[in-house]
Amino acid sequence: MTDHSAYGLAIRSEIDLPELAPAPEPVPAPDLSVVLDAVPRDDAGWTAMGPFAAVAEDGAFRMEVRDVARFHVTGGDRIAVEPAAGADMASVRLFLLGSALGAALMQRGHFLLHGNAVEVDGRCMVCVGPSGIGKSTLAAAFLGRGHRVLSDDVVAVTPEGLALPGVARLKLWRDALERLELDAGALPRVRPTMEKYGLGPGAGYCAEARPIGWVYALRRSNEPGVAIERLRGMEAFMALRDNTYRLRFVDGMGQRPDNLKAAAALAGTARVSRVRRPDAGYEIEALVEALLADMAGGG
Amino acid sequence: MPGLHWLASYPKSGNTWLRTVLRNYVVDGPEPVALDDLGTGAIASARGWIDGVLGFPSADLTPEEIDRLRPDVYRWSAEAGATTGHHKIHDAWRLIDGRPLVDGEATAGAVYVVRNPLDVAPSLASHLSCSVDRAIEHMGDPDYTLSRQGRRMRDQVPQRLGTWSGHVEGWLGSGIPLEVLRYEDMRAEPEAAFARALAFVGLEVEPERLARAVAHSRFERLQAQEAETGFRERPAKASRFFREGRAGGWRETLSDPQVARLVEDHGPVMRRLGYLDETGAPV
Repeated sequence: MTDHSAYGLAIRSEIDLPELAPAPEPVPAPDLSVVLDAVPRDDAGWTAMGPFAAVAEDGAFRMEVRDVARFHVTGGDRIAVEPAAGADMASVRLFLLGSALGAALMQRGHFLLHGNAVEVDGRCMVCVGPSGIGKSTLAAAFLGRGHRVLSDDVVAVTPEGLALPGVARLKLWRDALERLELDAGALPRVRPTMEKYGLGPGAGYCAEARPIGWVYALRRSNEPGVAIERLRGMEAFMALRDNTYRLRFVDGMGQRPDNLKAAAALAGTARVSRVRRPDAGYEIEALVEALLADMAGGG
Repeated sequence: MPGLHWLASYPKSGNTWLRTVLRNYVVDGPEPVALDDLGTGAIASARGWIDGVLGFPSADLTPEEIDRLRPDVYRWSAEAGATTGHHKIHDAWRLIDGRPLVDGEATAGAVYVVRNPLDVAPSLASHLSCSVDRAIEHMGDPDYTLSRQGRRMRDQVPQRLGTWSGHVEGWLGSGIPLEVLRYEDMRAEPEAAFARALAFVGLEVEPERLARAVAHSRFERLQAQEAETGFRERPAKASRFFREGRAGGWRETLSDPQVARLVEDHGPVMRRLGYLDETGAPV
Protein backbone atom coordinates (compact mmCIF):
# COMPACT_ATOMS: atom_id res chain seq x y z
CA MET A 1 0.00 0.00 0.00
CA THR A 2 1.44 3.36 -0.93
CA ASP A 3 0.06 6.83 -0.46
CA HIS A 4 0.45 9.48 -3.12
CA SER A 5 -0.64 12.97 -3.92
CA ALA A 6 -1.85 14.20 -7.31
CA TYR A 7 -4.54 16.56 -8.60
CA GLY A 8 -5.30 17.62 -5.05
CA LEU A 9 -6.19 14.05 -4.17
CA ALA A 10 -4.82 11.73 -1.52
CA ILE A 11 -4.38 8.46 -3.40
CA ARG A 12 -3.94 5.10 -1.69
CA SER A 13 -2.76 2.38 -4.01
CA GLU A 14 -2.24 -1.38 -3.83
CA ILE A 15 0.10 -0.92 -6.79
CA ASP A 16 3.34 0.90 -6.26
CA LEU A 17 3.22 4.15 -8.27
CA PRO A 18 6.76 5.54 -8.53
CA GLU A 19 5.60 8.10 -11.12
CA LEU A 20 3.53 9.92 -8.50
CA ALA A 21 4.76 12.13 -5.72
CA PRO A 22 4.47 10.49 -2.30
CA ALA A 23 1.82 11.90 -0.01
CA PRO A 24 3.36 14.55 2.24
CA GLU A 25 2.06 12.76 5.31
CA PRO A 26 0.16 9.57 6.11
CA VAL A 27 -3.35 9.68 4.71
CA PRO A 28 -6.18 8.83 7.16
CA ALA A 29 -8.88 8.54 4.50
CA PRO A 30 -7.86 8.55 0.86
CA ASP A 31 -9.80 10.51 -1.74
CA LEU A 32 -9.05 7.89 -4.37
CA SER A 33 -8.22 4.20 -3.98
CA VAL A 34 -6.40 2.12 -6.57
CA VAL A 35 -7.03 -1.59 -6.02
CA LEU A 36 -6.19 -4.83 -7.76
CA ASP A 37 -9.54 -6.40 -8.47
CA ALA A 38 -11.46 -8.19 -11.20
CA VAL A 39 -13.25 -5.88 -13.61
CA PRO A 40 -16.88 -6.82 -14.41
CA ARG A 41 -17.41 -8.30 -17.87
CA ASP A 42 -21.17 -8.07 -18.11
CA ASP A 43 -22.34 -5.62 -20.77
CA ALA A 44 -25.80 -5.01 -19.35
CA GLY A 45 -26.22 -1.36 -18.44
CA TRP A 46 -23.06 -0.30 -20.23
CA THR A 47 -22.89 1.92 -23.30
CA ALA A 48 -19.84 1.51 -25.47
CA MET A 49 -17.81 4.64 -26.20
CA GLY A 50 -15.55 2.80 -28.59
CA PRO A 51 -14.41 -0.78 -29.05
CA PHE A 52 -12.56 -0.74 -25.72
CA ALA A 53 -14.25 1.74 -23.40
CA ALA A 54 -17.73 1.95 -21.95
CA VAL A 55 -19.73 4.09 -19.57
CA ALA A 56 -22.59 3.06 -17.31
CA GLU A 57 -25.69 5.10 -16.51
CA ASP A 58 -24.27 6.16 -13.18
CA GLY A 59 -21.11 7.41 -14.88
CA ALA A 60 -18.97 4.38 -14.05
CA PHE A 61 -16.20 3.81 -16.57
CA ARG A 62 -14.64 0.66 -17.95
CA MET A 63 -11.72 0.26 -20.33
CA GLU A 64 -9.56 -2.55 -21.69
CA VAL A 65 -6.06 -2.25 -23.08
CA ARG A 66 -5.68 -5.67 -24.67
CA ASP A 67 -2.98 -7.83 -23.13
CA VAL A 68 -2.16 -5.12 -20.60
CA ALA A 69 -5.05 -4.48 -18.21
CA ARG A 70 -8.71 -3.76 -17.65
CA PHE A 71 -9.82 -0.79 -15.57
CA HIS A 72 -13.06 -0.08 -13.75
CA VAL A 73 -13.45 3.43 -12.42
CA THR A 74 -16.34 4.36 -10.13
CA GLY A 75 -17.53 7.42 -8.27
CA GLY A 76 -14.32 9.30 -8.93
CA ASP A 77 -12.90 7.55 -5.87
CA ARG A 78 -12.04 4.02 -6.90
CA ILE A 79 -10.00 2.53 -9.72
CA ALA A 80 -10.00 -1.26 -9.95
CA VAL A 81 -7.14 -2.64 -12.00
CA GLU A 82 -7.13 -6.16 -13.44
CA PRO A 83 -3.75 -6.76 -15.11
CA ALA A 84 -3.77 -9.21 -18.03
CA ALA A 85 -1.91 -12.47 -17.58
CA GLY A 86 1.78 -11.82 -18.03
CA ALA A 87 1.42 -8.05 -18.25
CA ASP A 88 4.28 -5.99 -16.87
CA MET A 89 3.41 -3.42 -14.26
CA ALA A 90 5.14 -0.52 -16.03
CA SER A 91 2.70 -0.96 -18.91
CA VAL A 92 -0.23 -1.28 -16.52
CA ARG A 93 0.76 1.94 -14.76
CA LEU A 94 1.12 3.81 -18.03
CA PHE A 95 -2.54 3.37 -18.91
CA LEU A 96 -3.67 3.61 -15.27
CA LEU A 97 -2.13 7.05 -14.88
CA GLY A 98 -3.50 8.21 -18.24
CA SER A 99 -6.98 7.22 -19.28
CA ALA A 100 -8.08 5.53 -16.04
CA LEU A 101 -7.00 8.35 -13.75
CA GLY A 102 -8.40 10.79 -16.30
CA ALA A 103 -11.77 9.05 -16.07
CA ALA A 104 -11.72 9.36 -12.27
CA LEU A 105 -10.98 13.07 -12.57
CA MET A 106 -13.85 13.46 -15.02
CA GLN A 107 -16.15 11.68 -12.60
CA ARG A 108 -15.10 14.27 -10.02
CA GLY A 109 -16.18 17.01 -12.42
CA HIS A 110 -12.77 18.29 -13.51
CA PHE A 111 -12.17 20.02 -16.82
CA LEU A 112 -9.18 18.28 -18.39
CA LEU A 113 -6.87 19.40 -21.19
CA HIS A 114 -4.64 17.03 -23.15
CA GLY A 115 -1.26 18.58 -22.69
CA ASN A 116 1.19 19.62 -20.03
CA ALA A 117 1.52 22.44 -17.53
CA VAL A 118 4.83 24.16 -16.78
CA GLU A 119 5.40 26.85 -14.16
CA VAL A 120 6.47 30.21 -15.58
CA ASP A 121 6.84 33.30 -13.40
CA GLY A 122 4.48 32.17 -10.66
CA ARG A 123 1.82 31.23 -13.19
CA CYS A 124 1.80 28.34 -15.64
CA MET A 125 1.90 27.70 -19.34
CA VAL A 126 -0.19 24.87 -20.75
CA CYS A 127 0.89 23.32 -24.06
CA VAL A 128 -1.72 21.34 -25.96
CA GLY A 129 -1.73 19.72 -29.36
CA PRO A 130 -1.87 16.44 -31.27
CA SER A 131 -0.02 13.35 -30.14
CA GLY A 132 3.58 13.52 -31.29
CA ILE A 133 3.75 17.28 -31.77
CA GLY A 134 6.40 17.55 -29.06
CA LYS A 135 4.60 18.71 -25.92
CA SER A 136 6.61 16.54 -23.55
CA THR A 137 9.87 17.38 -25.31
CA LEU A 138 9.05 21.05 -24.87
CA ALA A 139 8.23 20.58 -21.19
CA ALA A 140 11.55 18.77 -20.72
CA ALA A 141 13.36 21.69 -22.34
CA PHE A 142 11.70 24.10 -19.90
CA LEU A 143 12.57 21.76 -17.03
CA GLY A 144 16.17 21.89 -18.16
CA ARG A 145 16.05 25.66 -17.86
CA GLY A 146 14.92 25.51 -14.26
CA HIS A 147 11.15 25.71 -14.69
CA ARG A 148 9.03 23.26 -12.72
CA VAL A 149 6.48 20.89 -14.22
CA LEU A 150 2.99 20.57 -12.78
CA SER A 151 1.62 17.85 -14.99
CA ASP A 152 2.31 15.94 -18.21
CA ASP A 153 -0.41 14.54 -20.48
CA VAL A 154 -3.44 15.45 -18.33
CA VAL A 155 -3.93 19.00 -17.06
CA ALA A 156 -6.79 19.42 -14.59
CA VAL A 157 -8.19 22.94 -14.66
CA THR A 158 -10.19 24.40 -11.77
CA PRO A 159 -13.20 26.65 -12.39
CA GLU A 160 -11.00 29.58 -11.35
CA GLY A 161 -8.54 28.76 -14.11
CA LEU A 162 -5.78 27.14 -12.07
CA ALA A 163 -3.88 24.04 -13.17
CA LEU A 164 -3.59 21.35 -10.52
CA PRO A 165 -0.30 19.53 -9.84
CA GLY A 166 -0.68 16.05 -11.29
CA VAL A 167 1.46 13.33 -12.82
CA ALA A 168 4.59 15.15 -13.85
CA ARG A 169 6.65 12.26 -15.18
CA LEU A 170 7.55 13.18 -18.78
CA LYS A 171 7.38 10.43 -21.40
CA LEU A 172 10.16 11.00 -23.92
CA TRP A 173 11.30 9.06 -26.97
CA ARG A 174 14.99 8.29 -27.30
CA ASP A 175 15.31 10.71 -30.19
CA ALA A 176 13.89 13.55 -28.09
CA LEU A 177 16.20 12.71 -25.19
CA GLU A 178 19.18 12.93 -27.50
CA ARG A 179 18.07 16.32 -28.81
CA LEU A 180 17.76 17.45 -25.19
CA GLU A 181 21.21 15.98 -24.51
CA LEU A 182 19.85 13.71 -21.80
CA ASP A 183 20.97 10.15 -21.18
CA ALA A 184 18.30 7.51 -21.84
CA GLY A 185 20.42 4.87 -20.15
CA ALA A 186 19.68 6.27 -16.73
CA LEU A 187 15.91 6.30 -17.18
CA PRO A 188 13.22 3.61 -16.90
CA ARG A 189 11.37 2.60 -20.07
CA VAL A 190 7.67 3.36 -20.01
CA ARG A 191 7.11 -0.01 -21.67
CA PRO A 192 9.62 -2.84 -21.81
CA THR A 193 10.08 -3.00 -25.61
CA MET A 194 9.70 0.66 -26.51
CA GLU A 195 12.41 3.28 -26.88
CA LYS A 196 10.40 5.63 -24.73
CA TYR A 197 11.51 6.67 -21.28
CA GLY A 198 10.10 8.26 -18.16
CA LEU A 199 11.82 11.42 -16.96
CA GLY A 200 10.79 12.19 -13.42
CA PRO A 201 11.06 15.89 -12.65
CA GLY A 202 12.46 15.23 -9.17
CA ALA A 203 12.99 18.59 -7.55
CA GLY A 204 11.45 20.12 -10.67
CA TYR A 205 7.95 19.04 -9.65
CA CYS A 206 5.65 21.91 -8.83
CA ALA A 207 3.28 20.49 -6.23
CA GLU A 208 1.13 23.60 -5.96
CA ALA A 209 -1.71 24.76 -8.18
CA ARG A 210 -0.87 27.69 -10.45
CA PRO A 211 -3.09 30.06 -12.41
CA ILE A 212 -2.93 29.33 -16.12
CA GLY A 213 -1.48 32.40 -17.78
CA TRP A 214 -1.04 31.00 -21.27
CA VAL A 215 -2.28 28.12 -23.39
CA TYR A 216 -0.25 27.29 -26.50
CA ALA A 217 -1.81 25.03 -29.10
CA LEU A 218 1.05 23.47 -31.05
CA ARG A 219 0.76 22.61 -34.73
CA ARG A 220 3.08 21.52 -37.49
CA SER A 221 3.72 23.66 -40.51
CA ASN A 222 5.66 23.58 -43.74
CA GLU A 223 7.04 27.04 -43.12
CA PRO A 224 10.45 27.55 -41.58
CA GLY A 225 10.63 29.19 -38.19
CA VAL A 226 8.19 29.42 -35.32
CA ALA A 227 4.99 31.48 -35.65
CA ILE A 228 2.84 32.42 -32.67
CA GLU A 229 -0.64 33.73 -33.33
CA ARG A 230 -2.86 34.99 -30.53
CA LEU A 231 -6.37 33.54 -30.60
CA ARG A 232 -9.37 35.42 -29.30
CA GLY A 233 -13.02 34.84 -28.69
CA MET A 234 -14.46 31.93 -30.60
CA GLU A 235 -11.10 30.70 -31.87
CA ALA A 236 -9.64 30.62 -28.37
CA PHE A 237 -12.66 28.77 -27.06
CA MET A 238 -12.52 26.22 -29.88
CA ALA A 239 -8.81 25.58 -29.35
CA LEU A 240 -9.53 24.71 -25.72
CA ARG A 241 -12.57 22.63 -26.55
CA ASP A 242 -10.71 20.74 -29.26
CA ASN A 243 -7.80 19.97 -26.93
CA THR A 244 -9.94 18.52 -24.16
CA TYR A 245 -8.58 15.26 -22.79
CA ARG A 246 -10.51 12.27 -24.11
CA LEU A 247 -13.41 14.27 -25.55
CA ARG A 248 -15.10 10.99 -26.43
CA PHE A 249 -15.28 10.09 -22.74
CA VAL A 250 -16.54 13.57 -21.88
CA ASP A 251 -19.39 13.05 -24.32
CA GLY A 252 -20.01 9.50 -23.14
CA MET A 253 -20.34 10.73 -19.57
CA GLY A 254 -22.75 13.44 -20.62
CA GLN A 255 -20.36 16.18 -19.58
CA ARG A 256 -20.17 18.12 -22.81
CA PRO A 257 -22.18 21.13 -21.56
CA ASP A 258 -19.94 21.51 -18.51
CA ASN A 259 -16.91 21.03 -20.70
CA LEU A 260 -17.95 23.83 -23.01
CA LYS A 261 -18.63 26.14 -20.08
CA ALA A 262 -15.23 25.41 -18.60
CA ALA A 263 -13.52 25.96 -21.95
CA ALA A 264 -15.27 29.29 -22.33
CA ALA A 265 -14.27 30.31 -18.81
CA LEU A 266 -10.62 29.47 -19.41
CA ALA A 267 -10.65 31.32 -22.72
CA GLY A 268 -11.57 34.37 -20.69
CA THR A 269 -8.74 34.13 -18.18
CA ALA A 270 -5.78 32.71 -20.12
CA ARG A 271 -4.00 34.00 -23.22
CA VAL A 272 -4.61 31.35 -25.86
CA SER A 273 -2.34 31.18 -28.88
CA ARG A 274 -1.65 28.91 -31.83
CA VAL A 275 1.99 28.01 -32.31
CA ARG A 276 3.20 26.70 -35.65
CA ARG A 277 6.52 24.99 -35.63
CA PRO A 278 8.39 23.60 -38.64
CA ASP A 279 7.98 19.97 -39.50
CA ALA A 280 11.66 19.19 -39.74
CA GLY A 281 14.88 20.47 -38.28
CA TYR A 282 13.48 22.91 -35.78
CA GLU A 283 15.53 23.76 -32.76
CA ILE A 284 13.72 23.04 -29.52
CA GLU A 285 15.55 25.85 -27.79
CA ALA A 286 14.37 28.32 -30.44
CA LEU A 287 10.81 27.29 -29.67
CA VAL A 288 11.40 27.74 -25.94
CA GLU A 289 12.87 31.20 -26.55
CA ALA A 290 9.94 32.19 -28.73
CA LEU A 291 7.43 31.12 -26.10
CA LEU A 292 9.28 32.84 -23.25
CA ALA A 293 9.47 36.01 -25.30
CA ASP A 294 5.78 35.80 -26.05
CA MET A 295 4.96 35.31 -22.37
CA ALA A 296 7.19 38.17 -21.33
CA GLY A 297 5.90 40.44 -24.06
CA GLY A 298 2.16 40.44 -23.54
CA GLY A 299 1.68 39.62 -19.88
CA MET B 1 -24.38 -1.08 -47.07
CA PRO B 2 -22.75 0.67 -44.17
CA GLY B 3 -19.02 0.88 -44.07
CA LEU B 4 -16.12 3.09 -44.94
CA HIS B 5 -14.94 3.91 -48.41
CA TRP B 6 -11.20 3.67 -48.87
CA LEU B 7 -9.08 5.42 -51.45
CA ALA B 8 -6.26 2.92 -51.50
CA SER B 9 -2.93 2.95 -53.27
CA TYR B 10 0.76 2.34 -53.06
CA PRO B 11 2.34 5.79 -52.63
CA LYS B 12 2.92 8.01 -55.68
CA SER B 13 0.22 6.36 -57.72
CA GLY B 14 -2.29 9.19 -58.11
CA ASN B 15 -4.19 9.00 -54.83
CA THR B 16 -3.88 12.72 -54.18
CA TRP B 17 -5.07 13.55 -57.68
CA LEU B 18 -8.12 11.35 -57.13
CA ARG B 19 -8.87 13.03 -53.79
CA THR B 20 -8.48 16.44 -55.39
CA VAL B 21 -10.99 15.61 -58.12
CA LEU B 22 -13.35 14.10 -55.56
CA ARG B 23 -13.17 17.14 -53.32
CA ASN B 24 -13.56 19.58 -56.18
CA TYR B 25 -16.56 17.60 -57.41
CA VAL B 26 -18.23 17.66 -54.01
CA VAL B 27 -17.54 21.35 -53.38
CA ASP B 28 -18.14 22.39 -57.02
CA GLY B 29 -16.88 25.90 -56.37
CA PRO B 30 -15.81 28.56 -58.85
CA GLU B 31 -12.24 28.21 -57.63
CA PRO B 32 -10.26 25.02 -57.08
CA VAL B 33 -10.29 23.86 -53.48
CA ALA B 34 -7.21 24.70 -51.48
CA LEU B 35 -4.63 21.92 -51.35
CA ASP B 36 -4.71 21.83 -47.60
CA ASP B 37 -8.45 21.46 -47.70
CA LEU B 38 -8.82 18.17 -49.53
CA GLY B 39 -10.77 17.13 -46.47
CA THR B 40 -11.96 13.79 -47.71
CA GLY B 41 -11.67 12.14 -44.31
CA ALA B 42 -8.70 11.12 -42.17
CA ILE B 43 -6.06 8.78 -43.56
CA ALA B 44 -6.33 5.27 -42.12
CA SER B 45 -3.06 5.74 -40.27
CA ALA B 46 -3.97 9.06 -38.65
CA ARG B 47 -3.24 8.97 -34.94
CA GLY B 48 -6.04 11.39 -34.19
CA TRP B 49 -8.60 8.99 -35.63
CA ILE B 50 -7.10 5.89 -34.06
CA ASP B 51 -6.47 7.44 -30.64
CA GLY B 52 -9.91 9.00 -30.53
CA VAL B 53 -11.57 5.64 -31.05
CA LEU B 54 -9.23 3.62 -28.84
CA GLY B 55 -9.49 5.88 -25.79
CA PHE B 56 -5.79 5.43 -25.08
CA PRO B 57 -2.82 6.75 -27.03
CA SER B 58 -1.21 4.86 -29.90
CA ALA B 59 1.95 6.67 -28.77
CA ASP B 60 2.00 4.29 -25.79
CA LEU B 61 1.60 1.15 -27.90
CA THR B 62 4.08 -1.03 -29.76
CA PRO B 63 3.71 -1.28 -33.56
CA GLU B 64 2.40 -4.84 -33.19
CA GLU B 65 -0.24 -3.73 -30.69
CA ILE B 66 -1.32 -0.88 -32.95
CA ASP B 67 -1.64 -3.30 -35.87
CA ARG B 68 -3.80 -5.68 -33.85
CA LEU B 69 -6.12 -2.92 -32.70
CA ARG B 70 -6.62 -1.13 -36.02
CA PRO B 71 -9.26 -3.54 -37.39
CA ASP B 72 -11.38 -2.77 -34.32
CA VAL B 73 -10.99 0.97 -34.88
CA TYR B 74 -12.31 0.77 -38.43
CA ARG B 75 -15.12 -1.58 -37.55
CA TRP B 76 -16.22 0.70 -34.76
CA SER B 77 -16.05 3.77 -37.00
CA ALA B 78 -18.09 2.06 -39.70
CA GLU B 79 -20.72 0.79 -37.27
CA ALA B 80 -21.00 4.05 -35.40
CA GLY B 81 -21.37 5.89 -38.69
CA ALA B 82 -18.90 8.17 -37.05
CA THR B 83 -16.98 9.21 -40.11
CA THR B 84 -17.97 10.88 -43.30
CA GLY B 85 -16.04 11.07 -46.48
CA HIS B 86 -13.54 8.78 -48.00
CA HIS B 87 -10.41 7.66 -46.32
CA LYS B 88 -7.02 7.42 -47.89
CA ILE B 89 -5.01 4.34 -47.08
CA HIS B 90 -1.50 3.37 -48.16
CA ASP B 91 -1.26 0.25 -46.00
CA ALA B 92 -1.01 -3.07 -47.78
CA TRP B 93 -4.16 -5.07 -47.26
CA ARG B 94 -3.11 -7.91 -45.05
CA LEU B 95 -4.11 -10.25 -42.25
CA ILE B 96 -3.02 -9.50 -38.71
CA ASP B 97 -3.47 -12.49 -36.39
CA GLY B 98 -5.89 -13.82 -38.98
CA ARG B 99 -7.97 -10.64 -39.15
CA PRO B 100 -7.96 -8.31 -42.15
CA LEU B 101 -6.61 -4.83 -41.44
CA VAL B 102 -9.80 -3.51 -43.00
CA ASP B 103 -12.56 -6.07 -43.31
CA GLY B 104 -15.92 -6.45 -44.94
CA GLU B 105 -17.71 -5.16 -41.87
CA ALA B 106 -15.68 -1.98 -41.78
CA THR B 107 -15.56 -1.46 -45.52
CA ALA B 108 -18.19 -0.62 -48.10
CA GLY B 109 -15.58 -0.64 -50.81
CA ALA B 110 -12.29 0.73 -52.01
CA VAL B 111 -11.13 2.63 -55.04
CA TYR B 112 -7.69 1.19 -55.68
CA VAL B 113 -5.43 3.46 -57.71
CA VAL B 114 -2.49 1.82 -59.44
CA ARG B 115 0.34 3.18 -61.55
CA ASN B 116 3.07 1.66 -63.67
CA PRO B 117 5.89 0.83 -61.21
CA LEU B 118 8.34 2.16 -63.78
CA ASP B 119 6.84 5.62 -63.13
CA VAL B 120 6.30 5.03 -59.42
CA ALA B 121 10.02 4.43 -58.82
CA PRO B 122 11.36 7.86 -59.86
CA SER B 123 8.41 9.57 -58.18
CA LEU B 124 9.04 7.66 -54.96
CA ALA B 125 12.74 8.54 -55.11
CA SER B 126 11.91 12.21 -55.37
CA HIS B 127 9.33 12.02 -52.59
CA LEU B 128 11.75 10.29 -50.21
CA SER B 129 14.77 12.27 -51.40
CA CYS B 130 16.62 9.05 -52.10
CA SER B 131 18.18 7.50 -55.19
CA VAL B 132 16.06 5.72 -57.76
CA ASP B 133 17.97 2.52 -56.97
CA ARG B 134 16.98 2.87 -53.32
CA ALA B 135 13.37 3.47 -54.28
CA ILE B 136 13.46 0.32 -56.42
CA GLU B 137 14.79 -1.58 -53.41
CA HIS B 138 11.97 -0.29 -51.23
CA MET B 139 9.42 -1.33 -53.84
CA GLY B 140 10.85 -4.84 -53.75
CA ASP B 141 11.11 -5.08 -49.98
CA PRO B 142 8.40 -7.21 -48.36
CA ASP B 143 9.02 -5.46 -45.05
CA TYR B 144 8.93 -1.90 -46.35
CA THR B 145 7.03 0.26 -43.90
CA LEU B 146 6.23 3.98 -43.80
CA SER B 147 6.29 5.92 -40.52
CA ARG B 148 8.30 3.24 -38.81
CA GLN B 149 8.36 3.60 -35.04
CA GLY B 150 11.61 3.12 -33.23
CA ARG B 151 13.48 5.84 -31.42
CA ARG B 152 10.91 8.47 -32.23
CA MET B 153 7.32 8.84 -33.10
CA ARG B 154 5.89 9.86 -36.46
CA ASP B 155 2.66 11.72 -36.88
CA GLN B 156 1.03 8.65 -38.36
CA VAL B 157 1.13 5.08 -37.12
CA PRO B 158 3.39 2.66 -39.01
CA GLN B 159 2.01 1.66 -42.41
CA ARG B 160 3.30 -1.60 -43.77
CA LEU B 161 3.43 -1.38 -47.55
CA GLY B 162 5.27 -4.57 -48.47
CA THR B 163 6.37 -4.86 -52.08
CA TRP B 164 4.63 -2.96 -54.88
CA SER B 165 3.41 -6.25 -56.37
CA GLY B 166 2.29 -7.56 -53.02
CA HIS B 167 0.40 -4.34 -52.44
CA VAL B 168 -1.56 -4.74 -55.69
CA GLU B 169 -2.19 -8.44 -55.19
CA GLY B 170 -3.23 -7.94 -51.58
CA TRP B 171 -5.89 -5.37 -52.32
CA LEU B 172 -7.09 -7.07 -55.49
CA GLY B 173 -7.35 -10.39 -53.65
CA SER B 174 -8.90 -8.99 -50.49
CA GLY B 175 -12.51 -9.79 -51.30
CA ILE B 176 -13.41 -6.16 -50.68
CA PRO B 177 -15.57 -4.56 -53.39
CA LEU B 178 -13.02 -2.74 -55.48
CA GLU B 179 -12.88 -0.25 -58.33
CA VAL B 180 -9.40 -0.35 -59.83
CA LEU B 181 -8.22 2.83 -61.49
CA ARG B 182 -5.04 2.99 -63.49
CA TYR B 183 -3.17 6.30 -63.32
CA GLU B 184 -2.52 6.02 -67.05
CA ASP B 185 -6.26 5.86 -67.75
CA MET B 186 -6.81 8.84 -65.44
CA ARG B 187 -4.29 10.73 -67.62
CA ALA B 188 -5.61 9.52 -70.95
CA GLU B 189 -9.33 9.80 -70.31
CA PRO B 190 -9.81 11.55 -66.98
CA GLU B 191 -13.54 12.03 -67.09
CA ALA B 192 -14.27 8.40 -67.85
CA ALA B 193 -11.89 7.18 -65.16
CA PHE B 194 -13.02 9.58 -62.44
CA ALA B 195 -16.66 8.97 -63.28
CA ARG B 196 -16.14 5.33 -62.35
CA ALA B 197 -14.60 6.33 -59.03
CA LEU B 198 -17.39 8.78 -58.20
CA ALA B 199 -20.10 6.28 -59.05
CA PHE B 200 -18.34 3.63 -57.00
CA VAL B 201 -18.35 5.75 -53.85
CA GLY B 202 -22.01 6.45 -54.34
CA LEU B 203 -21.99 9.91 -55.90
CA GLU B 204 -24.29 10.72 -58.78
CA VAL B 205 -22.19 11.67 -61.77
CA GLU B 206 -23.08 14.94 -63.49
CA PRO B 207 -20.83 15.20 -66.55
CA GLU B 208 -20.41 18.98 -66.59
CA ARG B 209 -19.76 19.12 -62.90
CA LEU B 210 -17.14 16.40 -63.31
CA ALA B 211 -15.53 18.28 -66.19
CA ARG B 212 -15.21 21.34 -63.92
CA ALA B 213 -13.73 19.25 -61.12
CA VAL B 214 -11.21 17.70 -63.49
CA ALA B 215 -10.27 21.14 -64.80
CA HIS B 216 -9.80 22.45 -61.24
CA SER B 217 -7.52 19.48 -60.57
CA ARG B 218 -5.28 19.74 -63.60
CA PHE B 219 -1.70 18.97 -62.74
CA GLU B 220 -0.41 22.40 -63.73
CA ARG B 221 -2.94 23.99 -61.40
CA LEU B 222 -1.92 21.75 -58.50
CA GLN B 223 1.72 22.61 -59.12
CA ALA B 224 0.93 26.30 -59.19
CA GLN B 225 -1.10 26.03 -55.99
CA GLU B 226 1.71 24.23 -54.26
CA ALA B 227 4.21 26.86 -55.38
CA GLU B 228 1.98 29.56 -53.97
CA THR B 229 0.68 28.17 -50.70
CA GLY B 230 2.57 24.98 -50.02
CA PHE B 231 1.11 21.52 -49.47
CA ARG B 232 1.23 19.94 -46.06
CA GLU B 233 1.52 16.43 -47.52
CA ARG B 234 4.88 17.29 -49.03
CA PRO B 235 7.65 15.70 -46.97
CA ALA B 236 9.97 18.31 -45.52
CA LYS B 237 12.93 16.96 -47.49
CA ALA B 238 11.26 16.88 -50.89
CA SER B 239 11.42 20.05 -52.93
CA ARG B 240 7.87 19.68 -54.12
CA PHE B 241 5.03 17.17 -54.07
CA PHE B 242 3.61 17.79 -57.55
CA ARG B 243 6.68 17.01 -59.59
CA GLU B 244 5.90 15.74 -63.08
CA GLY B 245 2.44 14.23 -63.19
CA ARG B 246 2.65 12.30 -66.38
CA ALA B 247 2.68 8.75 -67.59
CA GLY B 248 5.67 7.28 -69.34
CA GLY B 249 8.29 9.64 -67.98
CA TRP B 250 10.27 6.59 -66.92
CA ARG B 251 11.64 6.23 -70.44
CA GLU B 252 13.70 9.37 -69.88
CA THR B 253 14.60 8.67 -66.27
CA LEU B 254 15.33 5.00 -65.75
CA SER B 255 18.42 3.21 -66.93
CA ASP B 256 18.08 -0.14 -68.69
CA PRO B 257 19.28 -2.06 -65.60
CA GLN B 258 16.73 -0.21 -63.47
CA VAL B 259 13.93 -1.10 -65.87
CA ALA B 260 15.13 -4.70 -65.94
CA ARG B 261 15.20 -4.84 -62.15
CA LEU B 262 11.65 -3.54 -61.83
CA VAL B 263 10.36 -5.91 -64.52
CA GLU B 264 12.11 -8.79 -62.78
CA ASP B 265 10.65 -7.83 -59.40
CA HIS B 266 7.13 -7.07 -60.57
CA GLY B 267 6.66 -8.67 -64.00
CA PRO B 268 3.62 -10.84 -63.29
CA VAL B 269 1.59 -8.03 -61.76
CA MET B 270 2.72 -5.59 -64.45
CA ARG B 271 1.52 -8.02 -67.07
CA ARG B 272 -1.76 -8.50 -65.25
CA LEU B 273 -2.35 -4.75 -65.24
CA GLY B 274 -1.32 -4.23 -68.85
CA TYR B 275 2.05 -2.61 -68.17
CA LEU B 276 3.89 -5.39 -69.99
CA ASP B 277 2.89 -6.92 -73.27
CA GLU B 278 2.86 -10.66 -74.07
CA THR B 279 6.55 -10.61 -74.81
CA GLY B 280 7.25 -9.12 -71.39
CA ALA B 281 8.28 -5.76 -72.76
CA PRO B 282 7.07 -2.53 -71.16
CA VAL B 283 4.06 -1.16 -72.96
